[in-house]
Amino acid sequence: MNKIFWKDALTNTPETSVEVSAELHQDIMRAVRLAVPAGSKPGFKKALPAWGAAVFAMLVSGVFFYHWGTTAVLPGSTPDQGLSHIQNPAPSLEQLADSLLALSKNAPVPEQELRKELERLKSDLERFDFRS
Amino acid sequence: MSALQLKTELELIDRARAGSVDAFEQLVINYQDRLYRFLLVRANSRADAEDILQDTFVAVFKYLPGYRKKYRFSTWLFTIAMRQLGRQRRQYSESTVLTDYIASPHAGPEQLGIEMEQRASLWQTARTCLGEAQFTALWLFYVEDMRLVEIGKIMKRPTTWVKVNLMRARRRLSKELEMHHLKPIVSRKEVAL
Repeated sequence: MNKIFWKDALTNTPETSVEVSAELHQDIMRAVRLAVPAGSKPGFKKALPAWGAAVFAMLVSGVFFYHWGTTAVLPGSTPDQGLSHIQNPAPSLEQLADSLLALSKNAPVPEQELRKELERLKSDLERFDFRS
Repeated sequence: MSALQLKTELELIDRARAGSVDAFEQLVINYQDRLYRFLLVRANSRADAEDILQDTFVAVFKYLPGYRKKYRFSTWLFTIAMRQLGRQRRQYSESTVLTDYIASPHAGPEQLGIEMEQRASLWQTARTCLGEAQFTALWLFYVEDMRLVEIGKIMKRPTTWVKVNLMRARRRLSKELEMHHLKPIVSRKEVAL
């Protein structure tokens, strides 16, 4: 059994003469057309290759993190300048009470009312004080 | 494939890449019969072969921008078809049944009789006695007229593997023919003549 025998025997068979019907061809083309999303631009992928998309993504993320980093730093001339919100602790309730007291001295609000408020704050402080 | 045909094919690919469905349809027309025959002898049924054929062309259209021209288009196409076939087999891990791939759906009783007779074709014998990989290599080599390198690329095997397995497949097939005193049958066209 030589090469010519095999070639003839294996190419002249019913399996090698089957053809796609017109109906099946229509089905294939319908599926292909449906696979193309409406309004898509096939040229975009060609214009922006994979490495271009990667560089673009890196640039965008770089700009985002740079922006985030600069806005997170507290401005001002205090000794903790340059620290972020996380590094700078929130003022305690005692500090707030003191500043309210200082404010009350200069404010035109009746002293009686301010004192009442201060008393209320102090009682709150005592109630929520962990040390007591 | 002649140089002119190759040039036309590359032009069609370029146009299809740019989004021309008409150009892609011409590529489908050029390859659909070849691909269908390849899938028909390997899929579980005619319906499965048709589904895989459709999925293959949809995938080809989708991934056409990624096609590199240094490979032949047919090699790339058959590689995708193989992948789709593998995916389908994983989904339905049923045993291969060769029942309805020759008989056409609209065949009359007389035609059906001829087709039943033709089932003793060499490919039927090959399907039963050869392994999946040897069968595929044999088909791509003889029916698709592909080179050993191209077959290796499609099957993800070295060229030497293809060469050795083609030889083994031929040897196995000739043994089978001798054992059952089979003669390869002639094509449907020749029967009609």
